[in-house]
Amino acid sequence: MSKFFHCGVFAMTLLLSGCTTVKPWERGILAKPHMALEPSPGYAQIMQHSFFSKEAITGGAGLGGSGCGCN
Amino acid sequence: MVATNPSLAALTAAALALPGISSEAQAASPVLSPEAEFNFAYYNENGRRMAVEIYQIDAKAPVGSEFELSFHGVKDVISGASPIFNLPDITTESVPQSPRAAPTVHARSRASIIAVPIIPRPTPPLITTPTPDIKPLPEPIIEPTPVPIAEPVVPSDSEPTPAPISKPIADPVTPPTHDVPQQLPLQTRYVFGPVRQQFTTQGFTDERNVFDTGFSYFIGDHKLTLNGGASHENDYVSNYGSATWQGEFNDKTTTVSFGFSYLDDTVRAINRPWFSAGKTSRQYLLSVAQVLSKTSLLQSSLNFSVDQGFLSDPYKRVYIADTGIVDDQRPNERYQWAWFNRYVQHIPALDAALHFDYRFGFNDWRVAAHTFQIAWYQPLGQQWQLALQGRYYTQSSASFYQPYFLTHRDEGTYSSDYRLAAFGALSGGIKLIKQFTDIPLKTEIAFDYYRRQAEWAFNGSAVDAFADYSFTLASVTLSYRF
Repeated sequence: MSKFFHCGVFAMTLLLSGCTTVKPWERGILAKPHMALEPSPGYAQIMQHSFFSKEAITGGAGLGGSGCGCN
Repeated sequence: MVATNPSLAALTAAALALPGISSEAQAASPVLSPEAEFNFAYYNENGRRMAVEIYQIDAKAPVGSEFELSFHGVKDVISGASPIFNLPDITTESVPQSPRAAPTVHARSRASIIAVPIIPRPTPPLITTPTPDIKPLPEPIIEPTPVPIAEPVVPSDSEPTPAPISKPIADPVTPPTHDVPQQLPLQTRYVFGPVRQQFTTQGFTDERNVFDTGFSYFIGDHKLTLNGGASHENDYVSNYGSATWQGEFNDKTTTVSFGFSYLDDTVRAINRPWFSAGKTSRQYLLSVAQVLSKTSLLQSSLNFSVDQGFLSDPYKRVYIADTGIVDDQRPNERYQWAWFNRYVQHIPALDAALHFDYRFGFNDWRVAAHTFQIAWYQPLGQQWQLALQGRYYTQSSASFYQPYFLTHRDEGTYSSDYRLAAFGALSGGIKLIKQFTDIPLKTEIAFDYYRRQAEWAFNGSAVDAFADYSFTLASVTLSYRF
């Protein structure tokens, strides 16, 4: 399992290399609400819970919440 | 610093929260003022299946300049019916027996016929009908023999179960009385036809209540969050806690998060009050978000979870042809990985945002899944915004999954839970968002449609098509900043 972990970290490092530096005053577009990585976090949680109940593989950008007896 | 204009406040908060990442990875500063969000959603599966009313509330408030409190609450009102197990349509037929052929069971799906030799057992499920004195027959007479089929399962102690195929079936062939040359003996065999899901006959109702509180401490470019909560249902109790560290680097263009959560759950069954079992889950998260340019963001996250204990579903059953109905029995351990990626690109010509997500996940139950999601957020002016999204999910089946089993497995694990089958699912949704400017209120209505099809799996076929279904999710959200 640790092999997968190290491969993942290496892959992310590769992905993030080569990024240009964006100064704080150049981030106006990034600050727009629809440029957030998750513009509707509340609704996204409900959707994710539906998927969690019906699909075998779960996991996203955050830690999962409580378990459930979803059928 | 307090911004009184809602739009300015929102923009300022977002700017401070650069690189503009979501609640899973917010930046190292508390919210500027208390904010709350209420969400009502209605989940509805097609046919006579599940329906859930969902009431969700989220609130955050700053405490001084270094702390933040958060609350998350959910109430689900659940009703409907759920698949319990699968039964094939079973008929018998008689065919001439090859001198060396073993008795066989045929499983017939829409597209294939599978002949499985039956290994002799202490109580052989199939009895070859020897016909040493058989006389010639123009055609072998094939009479479908009724095989006990389960009554729909009632969630009670006196659960009727279909009998296993274990008794000899009456010879369907009537020996003629006149003398004719001898023929090969006839063999009776079972033919397994299309599969049907068996549901609870009585719809059940339940409630799920979730309470979760969080406490965040901000110091410099770092944030430490502790969360704790509980979820309670009549047949399931979950207690959990988590800790997450987050740091910003490279002039706040890189955000790194590491988190750990622990769940301690108790599983019960409404129809078996004496039943209680435990399971634990440990989840590890490593996430990196990066500003790629003035108009693009990327986030990549690795999830690893270890689940131990009772990982079956106490309501699910499995039909084994030579045994009968048994409990769903899964391994008591599961290791799972998920690699989740998000990319956001601004489209200057339309001031739109294109979101693309991809996830690959797998576990040691041999389930592997790909998820692709794309969304387009289009501002319409007057603070209106329209979003369209589509999603495709596909998974392979668990190693111990089959719609039903012909005979026992040496591993002793069985599941016919449709969620462990191979399938693909397409979903699409639309969302309309309005940010008011005279009051600090944002409203959002959303509608999503999800359809699962066995044949949409990457490596799928129509064998599990009996389990196909769809659901809709409609939602209204109100967000208020005090």
